[in-house]
Amino acid sequence: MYQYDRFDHQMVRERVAQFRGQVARRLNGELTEDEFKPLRLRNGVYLQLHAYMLRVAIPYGLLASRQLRKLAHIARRYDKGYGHFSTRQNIQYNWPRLDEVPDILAELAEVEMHTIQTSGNCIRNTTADHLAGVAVDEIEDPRPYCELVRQWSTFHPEFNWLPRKFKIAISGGAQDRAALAYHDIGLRLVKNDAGEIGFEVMVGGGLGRTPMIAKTIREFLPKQHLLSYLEAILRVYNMLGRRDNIFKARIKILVHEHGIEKIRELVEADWEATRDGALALRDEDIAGFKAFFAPPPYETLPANDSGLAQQLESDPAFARWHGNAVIAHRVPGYAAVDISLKTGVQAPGDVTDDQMDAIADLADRYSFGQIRVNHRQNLLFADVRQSDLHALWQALVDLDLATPNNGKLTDIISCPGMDFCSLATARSIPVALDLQRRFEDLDHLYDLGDLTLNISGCINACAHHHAGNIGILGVNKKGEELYQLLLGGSSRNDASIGAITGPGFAPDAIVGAVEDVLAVYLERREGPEETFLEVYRRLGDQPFKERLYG
Amino acid sequence: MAHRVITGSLLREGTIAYLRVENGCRRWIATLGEATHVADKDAAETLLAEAIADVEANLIVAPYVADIRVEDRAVDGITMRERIRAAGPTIPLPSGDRRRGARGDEERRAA
Amino acid sequence: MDKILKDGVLIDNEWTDVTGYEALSSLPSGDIVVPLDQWLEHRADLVKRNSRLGVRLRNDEDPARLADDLGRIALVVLEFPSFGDGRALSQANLLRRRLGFEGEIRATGDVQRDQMNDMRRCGVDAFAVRPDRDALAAAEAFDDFTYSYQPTADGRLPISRIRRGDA
Repeated sequence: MYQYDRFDHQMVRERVAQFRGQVARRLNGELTEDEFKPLRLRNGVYLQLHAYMLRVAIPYGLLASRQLRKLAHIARRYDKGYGHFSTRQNIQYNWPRLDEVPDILAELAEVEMHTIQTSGNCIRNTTADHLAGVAVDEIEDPRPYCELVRQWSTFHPEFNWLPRKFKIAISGGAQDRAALAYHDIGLRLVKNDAGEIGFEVMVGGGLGRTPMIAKTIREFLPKQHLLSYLEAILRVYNMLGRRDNIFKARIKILVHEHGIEKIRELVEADWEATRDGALALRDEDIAGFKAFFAPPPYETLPANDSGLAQQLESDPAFARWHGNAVIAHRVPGYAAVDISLKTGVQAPGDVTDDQMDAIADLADRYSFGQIRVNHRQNLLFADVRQSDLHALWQALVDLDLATPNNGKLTDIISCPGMDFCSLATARSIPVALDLQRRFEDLDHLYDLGDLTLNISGCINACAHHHAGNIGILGVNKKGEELYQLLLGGSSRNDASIGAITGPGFAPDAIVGAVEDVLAVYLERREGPEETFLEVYRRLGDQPFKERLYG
Repeated sequence: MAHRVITGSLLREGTIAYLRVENGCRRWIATLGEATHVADKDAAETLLAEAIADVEANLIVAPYVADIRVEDRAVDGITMRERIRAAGPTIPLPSGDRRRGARGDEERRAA
Repeated sequence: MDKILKDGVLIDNEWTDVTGYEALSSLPSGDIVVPLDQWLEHRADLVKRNSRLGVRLRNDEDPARLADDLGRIALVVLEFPSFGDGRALSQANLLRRRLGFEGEIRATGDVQRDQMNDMRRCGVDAFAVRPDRDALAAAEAFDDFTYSYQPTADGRLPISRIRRGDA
């Protein structure tokens, strides 16, 4: 993974000192809350319902074991002994004190971590698909480019005061595992007819109040122009993005109002002037960053471990977990392992400090000391020997981290909701936990097949409820909670935005409504292989509405 | 019976606090049950105006008037949001309420 | 604008803001700053003045409209209506690095410490700091960061080039 050099270290240390000064100026009143708020947001500090919340960046979702141990230590020392992994590959702490945040940042800096630009109207954490470097269908590893974009976007003086937040994601191959369609800029590595590798560039995706799917602004961008092209898009956005209405300030609105052709024209006019200038990437530059992501020292192993085959035969619980949580790997004899944080014991995405330490130890033992965070608020070991899978599984069982629900109904994406968030209009976690309890039975869960379910506690859609096959949106009706149900969303290559079924449901009725929807699916599917999304797209929402509303 | 309290977040800690006025002295306390509550809307606005001094003293952030219900001396928020603010998250935290403990009384004397 | 922070010191503002379409004969003597529209309409006459000339841009106006005139202008005034509105950062960047403007670029409006470093890196070299702020204390922000990841307009080499050994 990327290693900081003295420049990176100094940047992060100076940022800590800068924020320490800003906190002091706030506490002594030199800065008002209105002046301080944008500054603290740019350091990941929110003021939430019960306390401050601190969002720590995990660049493109990649963590070293010593970093995860530091995150555990911070949870213990400065917080309430746990952390929450978000849908953008960050970790959040819900209870830090403002006057201790500079110390937390200093501790993070020791292990090459930071909270830079994890909030505020600036360029946020650039995310990658979680199988970067190991996916069988990968065209090229996106991570070197993520690191290039991270450095280019860090403290970029021209783009630090944008109309609104800006999110970039990069995917390494044809399969979109990074929700590119819902990012301000989505970059997909592609190969053109000449066999050259470059980027398809998409612009203007996003959820929230006005969900929109990104549009392709350029089919093929040669690699050397990555940064200059991004800069042209950001410049057009900075100059023309709306600043009169916070709900119309994202680039998706700019693209929608001007049309993609006009935006392309403006972007490429700016790009013409800069494409061969200071931001042009030379082959050596790219090679330099690629070197940080060179493959680990894989052993030469047979494609199928014979011991594994026997263990699968003799241990049904292990076999069940293997069938669900183990993902094919490009290197023979290896596998990637999904670690579900959707156990139903605690909020989706939450991990205790002890679990974090234990996961770090397992990473050292079984996966070259690295851990990844994906978009579903789960963790991943990317490089596990097949011969180690059984031992790893047993260790995960002991930690309550072996729930085999990857990609199933109970692999719920949920925002913190009104239990924690000051923007929320309803709670989300209790609905998630209730659903997880109701669908505990694995046979039934697997019968329902691949299903994504996302729960947002407000219209800001931090849990991407429009992108779930089933989405739930918690709203406020006269001070009480009400839940709207959406069906038919997807964040994969076939991106679609879920549609609201009709009137909302009371807190004690929403789970029943989900059960009704699933009953219709089971009755109407043409076989167990037909997924919920396929049935919905075949039938439309009519049969579901009829069942829900009679 | 509908009443009103003044509530906000403590600047340093970030935690929820309610205004309590005793003998003309303002304090920000953690427990809704011990907050000063008034029935009259104008009285609430007056209290809020006094609380602004604590904003300027860098003690409290964004205080506002919150509606509460008082029944048989039991006090609770009227909206779900205020009930959650008063009682804490409605789900158990992963490793129990360690380190800072449960939301106990962290009192702050007004400047 | 009474005092301007420039090159680390506070200097008196020597420029007069001309905001209306006064008749040319009734313009004040001395260095004047005119809005873009007035410049474009009257430049033939304005350049005959025996004074320096400056142009003020609203933050939604395209600096490229000044491209042919930059040799005749000594000052461009940019506006930051609120500190969160960063449009003038792009304007400064375009003026300084794209159009090669060598005169003074002055930031006015809600100019205060925590945005001034970004302004300077985009090419702003003079700051009309808010009157209720200590301008010299605000200037300490320029020292917050030793390095920059990006090429900037304040003459600093970006980290990528230092790493390459371009001294």
